[in-house]
Amino acid sequence: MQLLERFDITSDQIPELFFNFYGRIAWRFEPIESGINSCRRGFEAGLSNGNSDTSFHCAVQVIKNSIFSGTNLRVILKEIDYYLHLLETHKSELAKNYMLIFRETVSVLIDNGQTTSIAEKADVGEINDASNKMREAVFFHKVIQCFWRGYHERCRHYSENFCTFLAKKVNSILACSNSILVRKWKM
Amino acid sequence: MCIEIERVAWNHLIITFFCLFVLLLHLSGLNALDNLKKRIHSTKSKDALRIALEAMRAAAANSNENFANKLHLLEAEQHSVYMNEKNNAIPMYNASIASAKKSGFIHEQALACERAGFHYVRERKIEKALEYFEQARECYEAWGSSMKVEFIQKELDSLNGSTTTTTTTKGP
Repeated sequence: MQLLERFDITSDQIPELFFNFYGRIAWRFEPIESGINSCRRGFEAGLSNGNSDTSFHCAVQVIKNSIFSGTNLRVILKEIDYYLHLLETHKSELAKNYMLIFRETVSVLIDNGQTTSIAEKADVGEINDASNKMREAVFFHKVIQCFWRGYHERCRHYSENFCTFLAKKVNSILACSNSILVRKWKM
Repeated sequence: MCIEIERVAWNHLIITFFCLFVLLLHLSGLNALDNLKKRIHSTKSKDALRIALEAMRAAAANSNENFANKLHLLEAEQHSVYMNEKNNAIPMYNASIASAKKSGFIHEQALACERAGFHYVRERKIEKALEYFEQARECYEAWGSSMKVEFIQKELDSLNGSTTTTTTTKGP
């Protein structure tokens, strides 16, 4: 409620608010655990409002924060399967792809995917294509998987790719913000 | 533009965790004795360590609960790897374990126990190493990672084997 008053928004904007605040920002100063429950509330609010796209992005944040907070992996896997089941009805391709990538990582962490993996894989497109927006997620998940598996050389390879990719992105954003500032300055 | 900034904010969490993973990986590579001196003195290693520690310190200053254990673990690894600071490593590992336990990060508690175990293996203190590996196995079990439980069990078996062999050879 405090957030709603602070940002002066209506209740149908709760999913966006919870997604952006608890999913992306609050971990800097609040326990990760608290973000999980709030994103879950955002998911439920989104579904009841008919805003399924944002709702499932909240669900992705729930899974991401659950992994980082050390929630039992079997519990996370069960929750991912629940969301994937719902995604059969509510179509959101991007959220589904993220969810499938997370599922693969959790499955690897549990037992190297031996008994917990599924046939369906995320459609990540051409991984060498610079415009592919899934590349970042793919590389990061590969880093996590290789790290816990103990594949050090592969982990290093993916982490270098990830770093290069991030550096380019941050530079382009900095250039963009600089140009906006320059334009405002001239006005 | 706004969306892009939000995406970077999202990435920041990833970058922070990424620093932890990459640094641990980097430092674990130092354990190989043949590469040890070469890597310790490489500027690249020192730079990576400095950058990651800076990132983790900044994150821990804002949220001690989420990042203190990670910072302690990186510092412990730093002390363990640099020859002249080895005595400081164990208090750091213990601080990381305690902090992870307090925050409920069972997987990172396990990781800190595992790393402390390897530290003792390098120091040839097998009894202590076994103690920490046992703790790591319990934490990995609670986390639900049978892959890591198997890995730790192999370490335990090989250390138990080595202590048995040592005892046998030392016996009458």
